[in-house]
Amino acid sequence: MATEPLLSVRDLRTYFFQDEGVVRAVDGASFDVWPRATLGIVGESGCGKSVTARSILRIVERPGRIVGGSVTLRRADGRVLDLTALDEESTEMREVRGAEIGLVFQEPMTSFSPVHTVGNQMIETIRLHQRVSATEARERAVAMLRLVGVPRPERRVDEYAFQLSGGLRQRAMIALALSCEPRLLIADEPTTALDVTTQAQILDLLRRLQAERGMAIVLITHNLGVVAELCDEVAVMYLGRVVEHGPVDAIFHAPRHPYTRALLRSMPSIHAPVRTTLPTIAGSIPHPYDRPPGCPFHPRCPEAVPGVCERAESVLTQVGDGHVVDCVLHRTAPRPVTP
Amino acid sequence: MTAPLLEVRGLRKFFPVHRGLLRRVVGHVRAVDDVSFSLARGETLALVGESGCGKTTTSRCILRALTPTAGEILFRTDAGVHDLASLPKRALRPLRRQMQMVFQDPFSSLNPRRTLLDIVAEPLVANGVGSHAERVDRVAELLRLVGLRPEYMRRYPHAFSGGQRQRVGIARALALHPSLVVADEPVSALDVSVQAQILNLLLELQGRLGLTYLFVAHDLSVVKHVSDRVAVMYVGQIVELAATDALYRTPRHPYTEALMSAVPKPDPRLRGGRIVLEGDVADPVNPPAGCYFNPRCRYAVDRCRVETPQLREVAPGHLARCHRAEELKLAGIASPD
Repeated sequence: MATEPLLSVRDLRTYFFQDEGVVRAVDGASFDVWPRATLGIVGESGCGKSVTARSILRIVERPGRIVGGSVTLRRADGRVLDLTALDEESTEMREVRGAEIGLVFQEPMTSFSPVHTVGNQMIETIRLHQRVSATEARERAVAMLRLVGVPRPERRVDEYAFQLSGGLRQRAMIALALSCEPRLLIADEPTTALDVTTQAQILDLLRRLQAERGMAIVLITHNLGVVAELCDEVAVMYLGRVVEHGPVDAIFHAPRHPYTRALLRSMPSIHAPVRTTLPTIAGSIPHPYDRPPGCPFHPRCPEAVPGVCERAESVLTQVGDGHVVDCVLHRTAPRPVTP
Repeated sequence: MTAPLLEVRGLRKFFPVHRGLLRRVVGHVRAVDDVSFSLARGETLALVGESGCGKTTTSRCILRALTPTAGEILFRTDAGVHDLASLPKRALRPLRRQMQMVFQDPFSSLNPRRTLLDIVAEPLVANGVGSHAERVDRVAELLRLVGLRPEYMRRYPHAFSGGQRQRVGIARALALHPSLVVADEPVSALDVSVQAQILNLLLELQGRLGLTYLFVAHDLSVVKHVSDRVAVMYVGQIVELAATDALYRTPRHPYTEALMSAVPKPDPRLRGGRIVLEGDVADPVNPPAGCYFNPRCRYAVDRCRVETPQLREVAPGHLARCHRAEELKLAGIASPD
């Protein structure tokens, strides 16, 4: 692993200011992304995983805005850039989007324009970031489509997104995101809308592209199976916070946070005996306006300590090699760290 | 063995494909193409497959939300056996009380302008069951049954989380004491931590009320937790049907093997060794000759490209639509005993 992370997120806070109140979608998230590695960000709906991705790329929609923290990107030329300090519309930010960081969305149907061909959208992206002729950009687009396994790319390049099947559309989306050779690819639920056999194809593709091009991947998903298949490191989020972060094997085989443990237990497994009841997590995810004080998980936590958890501050404590957890139960060894 | 509650024989549903100015019919989508199975009282049969395999169309034909193109759907009640496929709409009405549906999306399947009382009592009102006071009592009982507080009945759906809304949908389906409940992807829109609660509830209600479930789903892990038997569908046909344990342990159709292999396993130590299918699902307008799965099948031989396999019993109670079902040694999922 390289000595310095490609991207460092520190105490990121992104709030949405609405008439009814403030939604603290991301509320103090911290993690690092290392070159050539895959970080999985997992969590259930409302945990802030997608808003985290949008905050990194500075495409948070109003009334949301970043109110604190930093997102440090180490650029290819060695310059260090705090993305939260840039203007959303600035040239520098535009250079980062697409060229340094590529983004793959969950629903490729709605992320492609329905009135432009797939090829034209790729050519536009390539020519925005690189000084190449239209013919050259088109050749590059065809080559990218071939790389991601789109059959007959010289014909597909002139088709519209709606003419492609779900799997091909997601491949085209990945081709678009990779067309300027970013060093970091953020994939937000890239396989959620796909069938399992297509999902297996896309996961294979991401793994192959990473091996060939050496880019870092941030994979955002709610599917722990997908994380286990692809990631080197995992950050588990709950209500806007990273509650546990560590190497993939530690997260699945020695999880420390009660939420991570409960989540893994409650997951339906293909290895389970037939017709068995599952252990459940009590209650449901709180409404965003109605966030519990202290540790956000304490009202549902089977191991909550009365009088302590509802006042606990957010501190990540090291519990293993590269393994940190934010829980009062693991603070006996008083070694608070920044990850 | 007692007579099955539901027996589907040779069910077909084709949708015409129109083209051109005169809207001429240029072909048919063979959404459901010769599907047969039976469902015993108190049993759960899962229909699994990927999008477009015809699992939802099959379930809609059974509820007669769609009228089948051909085939029989024999539904047994105290009054005898009825063929749902051919009954006129009016004769269906009394039968509909006995088959109810739980929908996938708990957000769009509940009317946001109506209270839980209105929503859960609607089947009672539509069928003229009870006085207003009796209906209120019944709704309270139903809400308690699905784990919601009866005091909530004057509230609107927006006040509830996805899991709670799905409970409301289940309460509504149970209002008329149905014998058959069709659940179409009832947990796929829910978060993992809530999914388990709803699956447990479905199992518990089945035990308490003797319900029969037709469970339509794409997630093989979820299916394993609720089903007695599983039917795997591919391009409008059942390719394999067996008791759940037998199907997962010793699959007899290459598509089932590939499907199980493709499920991401939540354990990083089990990485790799997955079967990645090439290409896309066959086009149901223009399916390939021979076995529909042959272009993607790694075991296909010449015979598979020419001769269409039939669904046949390859082991007791284990049906498969594959020429090579007996000779192939397919990998299943080992499960603890």
